[in-house]
Amino acid sequence: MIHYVARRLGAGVLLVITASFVVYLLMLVNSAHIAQTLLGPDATPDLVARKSVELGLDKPGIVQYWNWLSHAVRGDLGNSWNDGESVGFLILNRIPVTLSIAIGTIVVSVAVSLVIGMAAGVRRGVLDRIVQVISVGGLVFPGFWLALVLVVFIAINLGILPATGYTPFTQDPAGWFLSLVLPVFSLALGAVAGLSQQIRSATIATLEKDYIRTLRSRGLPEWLVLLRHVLRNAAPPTLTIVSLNFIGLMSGAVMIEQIFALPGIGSLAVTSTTSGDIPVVMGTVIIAVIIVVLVNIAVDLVNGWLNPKVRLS
Amino acid sequence: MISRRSVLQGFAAGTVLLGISACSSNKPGTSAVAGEATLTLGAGVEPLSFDPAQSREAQFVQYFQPVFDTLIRRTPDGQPGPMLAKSWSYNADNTELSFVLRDDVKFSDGEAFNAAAAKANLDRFKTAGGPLQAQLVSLESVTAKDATTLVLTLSTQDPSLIVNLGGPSGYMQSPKQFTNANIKTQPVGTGPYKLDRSQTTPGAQYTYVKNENYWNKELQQFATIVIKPMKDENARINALRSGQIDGMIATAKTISEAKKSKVNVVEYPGDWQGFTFFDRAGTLAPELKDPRVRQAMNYAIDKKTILDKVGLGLGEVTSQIFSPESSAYIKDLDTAYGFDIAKAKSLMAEAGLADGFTLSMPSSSSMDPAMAPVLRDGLAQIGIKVDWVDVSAAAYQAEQQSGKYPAVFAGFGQPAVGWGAVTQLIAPNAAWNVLKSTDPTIEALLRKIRLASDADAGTAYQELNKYLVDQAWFAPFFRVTQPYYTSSKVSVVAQTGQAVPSIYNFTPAK
Amino acid sequence: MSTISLTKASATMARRGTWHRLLHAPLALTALILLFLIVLATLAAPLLTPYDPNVGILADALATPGPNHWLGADSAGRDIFARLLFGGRVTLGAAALALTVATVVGVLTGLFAGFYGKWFDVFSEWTTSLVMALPTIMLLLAVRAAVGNILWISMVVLGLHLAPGFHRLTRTIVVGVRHELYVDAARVSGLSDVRIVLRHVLAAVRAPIIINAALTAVVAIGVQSGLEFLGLANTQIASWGTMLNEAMVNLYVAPALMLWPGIALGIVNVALILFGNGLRDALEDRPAAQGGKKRTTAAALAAAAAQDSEGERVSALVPDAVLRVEGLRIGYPSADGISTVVHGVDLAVRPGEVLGLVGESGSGKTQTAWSVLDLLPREAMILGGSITIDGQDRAKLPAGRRRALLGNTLAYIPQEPMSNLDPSFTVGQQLTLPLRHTMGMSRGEAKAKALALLERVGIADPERTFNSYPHQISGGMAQRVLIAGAVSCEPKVLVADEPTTALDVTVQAEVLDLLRSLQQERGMAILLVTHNFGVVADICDRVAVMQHGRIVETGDVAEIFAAPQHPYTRMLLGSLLHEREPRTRLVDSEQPLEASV
Repeated sequence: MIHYVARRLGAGVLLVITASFVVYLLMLVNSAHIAQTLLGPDATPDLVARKSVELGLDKPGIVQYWNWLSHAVRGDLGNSWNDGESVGFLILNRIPVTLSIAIGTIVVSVAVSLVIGMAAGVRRGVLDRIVQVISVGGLVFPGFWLALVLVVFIAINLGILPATGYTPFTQDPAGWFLSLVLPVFSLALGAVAGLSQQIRSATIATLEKDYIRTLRSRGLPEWLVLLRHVLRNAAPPTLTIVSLNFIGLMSGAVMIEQIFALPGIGSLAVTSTTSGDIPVVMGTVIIAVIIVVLVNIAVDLVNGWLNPKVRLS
Repeated sequence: MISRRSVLQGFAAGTVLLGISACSSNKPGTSAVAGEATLTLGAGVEPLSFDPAQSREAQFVQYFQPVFDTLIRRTPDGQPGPMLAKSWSYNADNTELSFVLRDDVKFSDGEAFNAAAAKANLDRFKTAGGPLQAQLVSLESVTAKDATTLVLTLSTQDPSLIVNLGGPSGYMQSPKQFTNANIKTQPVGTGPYKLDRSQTTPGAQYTYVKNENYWNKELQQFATIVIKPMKDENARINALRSGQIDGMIATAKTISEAKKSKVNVVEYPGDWQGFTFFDRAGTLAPELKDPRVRQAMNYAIDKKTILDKVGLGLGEVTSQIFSPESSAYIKDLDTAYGFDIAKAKSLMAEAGLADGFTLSMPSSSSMDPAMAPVLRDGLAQIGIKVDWVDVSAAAYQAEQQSGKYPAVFAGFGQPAVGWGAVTQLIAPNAAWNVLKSTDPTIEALLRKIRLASDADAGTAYQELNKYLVDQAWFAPFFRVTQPYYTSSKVSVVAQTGQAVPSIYNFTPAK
Repeated sequence: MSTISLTKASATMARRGTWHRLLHAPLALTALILLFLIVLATLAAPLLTPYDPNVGILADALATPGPNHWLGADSAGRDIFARLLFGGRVTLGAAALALTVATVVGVLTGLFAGFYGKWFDVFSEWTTSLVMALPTIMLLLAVRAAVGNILWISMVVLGLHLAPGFHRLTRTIVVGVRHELYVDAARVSGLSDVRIVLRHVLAAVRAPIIINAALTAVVAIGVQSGLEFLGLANTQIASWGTMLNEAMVNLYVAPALMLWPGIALGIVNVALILFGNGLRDALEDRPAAQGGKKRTTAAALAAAAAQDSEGERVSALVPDAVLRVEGLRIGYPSADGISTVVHGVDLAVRPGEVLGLVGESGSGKTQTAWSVLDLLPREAMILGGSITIDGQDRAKLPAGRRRALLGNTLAYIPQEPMSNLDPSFTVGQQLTLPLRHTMGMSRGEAKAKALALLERVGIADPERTFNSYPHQISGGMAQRVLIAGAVSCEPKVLVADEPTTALDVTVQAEVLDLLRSLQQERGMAILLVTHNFGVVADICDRVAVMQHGRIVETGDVAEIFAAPQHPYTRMLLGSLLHEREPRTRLVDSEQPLEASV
């Protein structure tokens, strides 16, 4: 297994390098604006030209990339061109926010989807119809639309939860929890819709397996069959969906971050990409790719644990 | 050039919002006792570098003022007042400016503030390649005559120098920090507050704590100042209404909501908005060379209706770029170009362009979304087909200044001193005179203004203003009224000619 | 999701006709019609509204809905209804472009990788990981920064970014289908690769691809609208996302602006999802009947019922039976009502007796066996009759007690050994769980008993088998494990459904020997379901012959062999002499499509 993980990590490194190269070149295609954008509206053309040289934008793209890469492999991601903060520091500041939202959304959506998805798959009939309606209903309104409504009605008019912002866990665990409720709710609703359908399908598929009949014939109570055998066998496809959701949340929650003014990786990614802050862009890209690589390895390991055929072969 | 880009057009639905870090131990305005409370502001921008030499005007000043005192302080009415400089005086021909500095001020790293430190700062600002470096372009040399006497020698007269020294070029940083690697992130000045990095999350929350050794306790109305960049106006007003912040810059879009929700609303003059023609020489769009075409474009826009419908009536219609505060202002010019399609059409016909032409201008999501279609529809009536080239909000300003467009729709601040507008928009080397247009009349008038005494400059300014309106160098539509909201726990006084109130203008509510 | 199940599902689906199924799925059909109408409305926009979506009447800015502007006007005085219609072209067209690119690229590379494999498979897998690892929004913004604000380029890039989903799906299915018999057969018969792909493989991937496309369309619309909402796309093009952006700016001036584009997006999303779900359900909910059902009209059903309901025959004949089935009728829902597969079966098994239930596949014998165990598939309906076990009429027992009968009163040996062991648990875990729950044993006792049972059923290294996973043991061993499991809780009646059919001939005999010895040792009754008179001859005391859901002949084994009365019995006995019936599984393990990412 160590060998397997090492091989996957090796492939992951190659992936990170290729992805960063692709993005770096894309950022350089039209880099003429970068210095002007950084300097703002009052900068004169000669100042802009001087800034471009200072940033190294006058060098060939491949040289620039090599300079970046040779520092990056030593752990030095450089400093933001925007505000001079170290890229590592910026990312470390924002990762907890994004992870809190993403993990919170995953935990909530998996818990809710397991209950309603399995219930629908087992009972079918009326309950199934209700779950179908809920899950489709969860997708009717875009998440950001729902988030706006939640902010206005729950946070402002009712004054129950914070309207915006993020409270670090280390500062105030209760405040951290409260600051996550509305964002996680807005994101989880759509996630539940897809995931509960998936769990329902997996449950139905598993329930039709021959071994479930055999297990029942041994006199095992139905709840034990469901919780032990159905859940276990329905898990791998569900896990794949969950991992894709998680990866999507790492940069895809930008709209929710905007509405709730949450300082996450998503907003950092968008600001840096649009303003041409290449060191930060590269930092967020490699973090995103590293997370994808790690999540995929984790999913494979868990799948291996869940599915002995994969594990032992 | 005090306030910068239009706030109304700068509504940032498009740019991404950086969040805040609500900090329960820092509940905004929890106490009304002067000097004890926390002031929490929601800002529309992020501070970028804390290095004063790289700093900017407009909304950015609120991030710098807590840490950096300036040589002079802009009083709320826009006039220069003493701060680190107790007094100042010009020589006879306005080419030498002498300051008498305070002798009781120390930087927060323990270094003394004196004329040598001030000289070091000015010299550095002039050469560091910051965005506002051009503000000191007329500064030839700086001399520290003794510890408290600072003399600035100018290559040419600069009517806006004093006001500028109340902003970024006047921020005084401890010279010991110039070589510090952290200069961009850890500011060290003489100001009433110090940036507390331990309670600061870049892009989310900047926390300033009281400087216990500060020389002027009157400017320390709060124990702590917290500034949270929140680019989206809706996020800001939501935070204000739910008590998470005490002050925010706004637009007309939220003012009725603010007035409904027990928020204090302060209004002050904001930007003027309209077309700025760059290609007055007709290199990109030959049509624009003819003043009659530019005049026709002035007549073709229904300024009043746009102000009422898109700007929600918050502002006043104008045809001139100068602030009513400045000596260049002529009231009658506000109505120089009324909405008159017939006149516009006949001017176009006279210019031989009855069939119109195509004009390409940049647009982006940082414009009010109604503005592009409304202006296109307006100009379509006189045959001008506007081709909006949509660019990203972040690249918008750079694109406007790229020299690829004959004209742009933009908003600019209205400095109380007319020279500000000159150096920003009119002078051949001005950053917003993108295609360097000029003519002998203007050059002569500018020379006249520079050389004139304060009292005499007025007529020259007015002559310039009339000429610009007559030649239609611009097509201003209206001056926008800028709203600023505070919670009931905080009072604020507007700062004339600046996009946001200075930090010093906030006090705990009585 | 297992490749095999997906493959089977799609292959079966293809054979049965995707479109035919779709037409019988009202939800999916409604959704499809709704989508069609929306597309039609956007295409016919100039006929439906006199307004230009981009030209405003400033005086009408923020007008409320009325006769002039049905849905009101936006902040530039543009008609919202017109913008919705014309904007729909952009939103839906952009999504369609992204979807087309994703589908074409993903399916083609998936087909190629799955069919030919080799270096292309390795290369495309790596590229897929790379593309999937890049964060969507950053990629789109970087591309936009590089080439400018051009919608179609963004959509092509988005399509490429979404292609891996189709690639993986197609590749998985193709790899499965490639090994299916019919493709091999097609190859042997000399068809070119292209024709194989077109005829068989595309048919197999079609339905899953359509479902994935519906969900991918939702993603594409979401990403594009999200970018527009954030102001990160071209603001000069009317689209639903741009409308939301404008609404966000005017959130506190005219909140209603948020409503219309939100509803439009909602309807399209729901229609796409319902379409996907409907199609998936059409895959999942196969027609109820298993094996050779016979469709009957209501009249025929009534007639059958009248004919069957004579009843009261067996109880009289066999008063001491430990298992008694009387007048059992089983039906399945079908398109035209209910089709009955078992028409009034009567059976009785005495304690310690082995009763053979013999018939061809589709005769209803497995259905009978499952109904005895109360483990019929969920769609099955017991239409009549009673089942009495150890003197208790099961219909009168509460649900909990019915399940409690299983294990220690009734036990089951299935036909197919491999599919009847849960692949995720070791043999030991599967054996000890019932012992602990049904017999109340401790963990240690259960393990000791399980090891003893494994040894008893003739497994050479019980400890090793105990710790093995099902895929690590042979079919014969698996069947022994299942037998050990069945007898573990000491049942009075064992229901064995073709216990030897799936095994090699040599193993068959051993397993039958084992069954007989266990039966004699424990005095169990056995209901042995088989199609094979050879097995009957080997082990049974009595035999019941079943055809078309009816018992046609019952009697002692010796009597029946000596003098079969019914022509069907004679035919079965005859076939025993020359050839075995081709093995046919009664339950086609057709599985629903599980994951569509």
